Amino acid sequence: MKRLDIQILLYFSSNDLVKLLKSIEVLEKTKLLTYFHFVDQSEDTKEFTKVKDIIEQSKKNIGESIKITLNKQPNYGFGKGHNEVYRKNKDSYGDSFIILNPDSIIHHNLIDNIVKYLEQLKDVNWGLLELAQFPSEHPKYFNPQTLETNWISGAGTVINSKAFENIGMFDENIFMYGEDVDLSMRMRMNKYKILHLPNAQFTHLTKDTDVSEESDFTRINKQAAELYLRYKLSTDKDVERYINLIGKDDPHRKEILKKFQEMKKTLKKRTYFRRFIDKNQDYTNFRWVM
Amino acid sequence: MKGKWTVVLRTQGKGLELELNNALNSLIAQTYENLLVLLMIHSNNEKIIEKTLSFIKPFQKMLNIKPIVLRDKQGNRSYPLNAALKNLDCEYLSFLDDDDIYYPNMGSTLIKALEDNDKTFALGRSIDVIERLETNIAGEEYLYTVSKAKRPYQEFSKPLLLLENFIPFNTFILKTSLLDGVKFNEDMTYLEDWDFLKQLILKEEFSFIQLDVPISEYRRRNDITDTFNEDNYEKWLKSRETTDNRLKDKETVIRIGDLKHIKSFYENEFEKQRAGIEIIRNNPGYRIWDKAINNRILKNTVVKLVRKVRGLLHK
Repeated sequence: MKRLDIQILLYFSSNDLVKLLKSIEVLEKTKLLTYFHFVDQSEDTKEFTKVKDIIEQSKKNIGESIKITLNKQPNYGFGKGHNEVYRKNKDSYGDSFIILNPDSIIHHNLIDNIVKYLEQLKDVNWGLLELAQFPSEHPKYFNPQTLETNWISGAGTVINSKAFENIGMFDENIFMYGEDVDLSMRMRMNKYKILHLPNAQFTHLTKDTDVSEESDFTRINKQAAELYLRYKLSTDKDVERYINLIGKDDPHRKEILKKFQEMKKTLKKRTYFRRFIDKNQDYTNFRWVM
Repeated sequence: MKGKWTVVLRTQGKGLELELNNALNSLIAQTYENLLVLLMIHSNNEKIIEKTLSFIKPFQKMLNIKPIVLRDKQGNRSYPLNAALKNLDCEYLSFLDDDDIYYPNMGSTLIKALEDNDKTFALGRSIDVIERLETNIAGEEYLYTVSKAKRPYQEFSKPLLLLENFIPFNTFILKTSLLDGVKFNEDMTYLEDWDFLKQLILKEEFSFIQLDVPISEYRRRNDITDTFNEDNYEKWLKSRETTDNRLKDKETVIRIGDLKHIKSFYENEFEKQRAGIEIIRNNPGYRIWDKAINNRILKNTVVKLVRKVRGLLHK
């Protein structure tokens, strides 16, 4: 492995970029060339210029082992956005690449820790390696010894390029939220391992840690995705059960169901995955409740 | 430019990768910008000192860290804190141990609360985290989060703080103007933070603002690194006596409303203990022991052990 590629989608993220770029500037010399592919999806000229200025300024302080590119594309959402960046650049990628959120700070030893894991796992049939989020660890199950987990968070993950293509990449029917769960389930259905890497930490400055403070956009998209995933990977009974969980008086009920119907329409094939909703392996089985 | 905030970070340089690493990363993530970290390295082991100074180098590229090495008075928890107080040049102050972390909003939330409300002491809420040491497939050690829960909300009450410490050391920021004549008691092995807080609240300039916002994690390990055990319980009692004596000749006004907080605090503590005893009692192992003791089947050592466990539970 000679290079590492990191895809970062931006959407009015200029304020988040300052700390992220500072953390890139101080990255220790790594064993491999690291490419950061920033792609702005804001569709806003002013925002793009702002991002460009910040990145150009930062480039002056960045060492030779790190390369940064900035491009723009329409607002495809999360999954399709990353698929597009991957399609454009994959010929120059190594065996794997990373997707990372812009509201992140890269810890100085992150790249080296990832490299260590990749060397250790070279004989393992892995599909996704989840980076550990700090300070709020993603509250879900992983096996403390084998590090196997049921699904990964798309906020920071190493993706095996071959596995990614084999399973058909991100589902482009999902605009945002849930696409990481869907990708994880399809990886598992295809016998690829999904692992959590506790020593490969990055800071994720999450804004939506408190569910009660979620924006309407987040809630609608998350719940529509929940329904869609049940429809795609589970049974009608599960879909029904989840619809019943959304209160009849819920002000967003209509919009959630409408969004779900739209996503459903473009789905080509339903595939039942027995372990999608499993008492112990359920992806919603959190380790602690706050 | 906002007022300077100093975080006093106490370390013995023992858990660099697993602990100090997280504490420093949590400070890098702070959204408050005018921040200085006074890193009090308390060790007389030159190798550890050298290793710690080298370890913090990459962090110093992102964070304003001033390391201070203290070789004297090993094991005295107050000594590095007093040394830090002598080195202050800031408006706001807070404390952090190397095994705990702040959330990114710690400084911005509490300092804004101090400024907006013209108070001298701001208090937030902590998250209790229990961790255990694990080894991953790459053979490297890491800390696995066993449990995580919001610390029960305790409304601030001066009289209650005189009786019990309900404020974790990493949940408050104070104005340094409040520090005149205040220092940590170097005769105490434990509870030095509580003793410090008592001095603060007895000052006339003390005024507080409390926010029900999680701003830090109080992390504990369920292994031998947890320093509080039966062996040092005696030392703990002695420290408790020292700090209680601070109030011997003092007078303070307690309002009727304050008694409500004291009553509810002790009621909650009692409930917690009772729940703990019930959990132990329901444990099959405990039931076997219990039965064995009553039937006098097992040897004295086991009987003694069970009695000890019961004794601890009832303390």
